[in-house]
Amino acid sequence: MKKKALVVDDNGNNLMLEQDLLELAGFDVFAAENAYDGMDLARKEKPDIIIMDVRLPDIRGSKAAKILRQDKETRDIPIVFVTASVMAEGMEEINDIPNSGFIGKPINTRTFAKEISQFIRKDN
Amino acid sequence: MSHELRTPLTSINGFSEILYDEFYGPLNEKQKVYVNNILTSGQHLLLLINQILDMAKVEAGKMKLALSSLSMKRLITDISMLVADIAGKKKIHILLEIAEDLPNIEADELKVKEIIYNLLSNAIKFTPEGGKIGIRAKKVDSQIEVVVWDTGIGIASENMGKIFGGFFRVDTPFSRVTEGTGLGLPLSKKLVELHGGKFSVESDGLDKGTLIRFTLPFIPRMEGKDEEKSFSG
Repeated sequence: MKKKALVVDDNGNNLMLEQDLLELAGFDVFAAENAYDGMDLARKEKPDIIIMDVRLPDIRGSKAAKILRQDKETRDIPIVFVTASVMAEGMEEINDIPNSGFIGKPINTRTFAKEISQFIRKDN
Repeated sequence: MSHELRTPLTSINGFSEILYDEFYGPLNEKQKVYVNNILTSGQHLLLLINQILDMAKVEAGKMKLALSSLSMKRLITDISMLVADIAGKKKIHILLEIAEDLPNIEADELKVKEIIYNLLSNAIKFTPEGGKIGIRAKKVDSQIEVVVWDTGIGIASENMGKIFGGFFRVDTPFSRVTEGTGLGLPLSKKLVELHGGKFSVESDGLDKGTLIRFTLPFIPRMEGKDEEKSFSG
């Protein structure tokens, strides 16, 4: 069965890029452009992995992740943040979210899907 | 600001990379060349933006060091191996002379790697085929002194003052101006100074090779908000 991935990014181009790469790698991909739509999709589809931008138009990706962690339906889905600030200052807000990781921007198109897959294997 | 500059480039580089890799079908020869040009230009621009932003951050006193205990011996060996490929293509020999008693230091690993990578790749870039480059490291008082030298094109005395100005590049028979950003050297100097070290360049002139010497204290001397000289001058 195909693995399901949910991508949440408000930048249409990034969203398309990540969606295409994951589809090429054999994922079923669901996409959302803001945190609340993303959380709705997460509850509905129960994806194997969530790929989340940190800066989103409604609430920050880290906040959305904390909300998903409180819901037992979505509590255990691994979340990978895609962030431009991989420096120490920007990491604090995602460090204390269980079962999460991050990938630095710009993403490497040649390894992206593989990196994402590792987060699933590691945590299941 | 960094976010605004990098986001469009993510699209340019990402989509052209996928096209180049022909995930969605083959390209003809001309298309492949064009897409590759977009990609290499995009990657170059990204490097330039990253370096300019880093430079601005240091200038504004906002660059923070993430300190950890570093084995300089391992770090230098790792990076020498990383550049060995490019050196090999030009039949350039790399000589490593690392003192046995080299102690670990407290420093920002990513930044020290960047400094050494910049200096070694410059040495390779400006050294003709069959030449030699080298890196030496030893303990001097409470600091580590690193020297990166080459037998390359050197620096003409009239250009000595310009190399730290940013964007200064020379066209040589061995390298194209478009290869570099001209910011690697000034940025490396800033990063060394951020650790409380010293950075200097020596060359006896054109075709006489170049020697770069820098120090890193065992424990960085943070200078707080010391007034730094502007690099735009």
